[in-house]
Amino acid sequence: MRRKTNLLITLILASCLLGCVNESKKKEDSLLAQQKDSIYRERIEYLLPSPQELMSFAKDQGYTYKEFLVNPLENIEEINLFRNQALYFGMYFCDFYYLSVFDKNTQSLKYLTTLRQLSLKLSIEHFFKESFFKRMEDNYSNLDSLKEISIELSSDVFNSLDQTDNNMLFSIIGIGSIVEALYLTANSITDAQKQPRLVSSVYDIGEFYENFFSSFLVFCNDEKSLKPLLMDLTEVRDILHKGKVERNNTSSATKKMTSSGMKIKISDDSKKSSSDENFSLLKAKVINIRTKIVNQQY
Amino acid sequence: MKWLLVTITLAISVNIAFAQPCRDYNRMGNCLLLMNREVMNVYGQSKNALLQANIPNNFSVTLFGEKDYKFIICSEANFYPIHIRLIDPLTQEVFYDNKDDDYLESIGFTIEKTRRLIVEITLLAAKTEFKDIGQDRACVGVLILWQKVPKTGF
Repeated sequence: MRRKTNLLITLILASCLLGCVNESKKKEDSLLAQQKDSIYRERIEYLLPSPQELMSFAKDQGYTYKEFLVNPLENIEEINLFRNQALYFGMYFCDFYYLSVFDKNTQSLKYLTTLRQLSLKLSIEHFFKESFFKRMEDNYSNLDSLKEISIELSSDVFNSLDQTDNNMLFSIIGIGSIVEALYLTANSITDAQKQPRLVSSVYDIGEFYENFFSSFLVFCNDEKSLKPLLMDLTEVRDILHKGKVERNNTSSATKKMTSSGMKIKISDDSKKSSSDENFSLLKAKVINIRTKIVNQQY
Repeated sequence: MKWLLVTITLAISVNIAFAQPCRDYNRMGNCLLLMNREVMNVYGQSKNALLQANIPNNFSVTLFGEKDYKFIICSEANFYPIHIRLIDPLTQEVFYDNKDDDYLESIGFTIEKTRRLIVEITLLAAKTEFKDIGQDRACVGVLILWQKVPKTGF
């Protein structure tokens, strides 16, 4: 009996040890793969769209406004760490556009004011040009003009950020924006089976995610404090990739001469859609990251 | 005191100007000329960069589906022709190479489904001989225009 027990304990210990070795090997392999991936990505520059383009696209696809999805304005004095300030900046930037495209003009202006305050903390306040605020003051009673000027101002800020040398900051802000864009769209869907067009457009926004993720990987990979965020973002990327594999796309390009010059047509022949399971996974992970951003857990 | 302020302001402006030598380049010169012929919207991911001749540069851009696009690429006169290739980021398949069309700098295309593309740009500077270091760099403007695919049929 004792012999049997000893054998059993030895077996359990051996399997645990083997498991640990396997786990550390897996981690090492994953780190190596990520490093290789990062070196490859460094040779490419990633263009990040402004959240305005993503939110306008969402509205065009038929999304309706859901007030409860927008993160309420918080006391920014309580956001202490630089990375959390940057993530909040990106999140509010996207919320600002979400409110703007759905004509919640008074509310959106409050977000713009908060963005300006946050910009002071991030030392990027010079991108909020006074001339825009002067024009806004002059058009204070005209909500349509105010909306136009505020969108013009924020696009100018986003494009200027792209041209700064602070790539790390721009990448973190970008992550805040794209996570919020995925959160707003994925959580607007109440029944994935009855709203396939909306589900498909979440994956469209997911196509943009790849560039935001790659930019983050290139500029923030060496920053230890951002590792937990990177791990979570990698999970989202893997889910999106799996969804893409499920859609089984095959691409082709055709070329023809038209009266206005040369024209190419790039087609993606996807007969399937991503599974409900994949969409549920994506939604859950995005909620998880967004909650962590709001609670300053990164 | 006033002079000091003016000098500091000037120094900062000059510094900013040199730090971003290609800012708004895609809204000038050839790009502007070609843009004025179109009635399309300007896409937010339009880009400017300082590139070195004969070295391929890649950028990754995501484009919404069901839209017509036009890429307009411009640079300084002695850096032409410009070699442009549109590449699938997943399979590395070359969708389009402007070498086949005598290095056209304005490419129109339709995207059926939202997707990423790698755009590879090389300044060939075929007729220029560079004598000094630094002479082989030039600003490049990439202007991306878009419009919704118009509905066809009766």
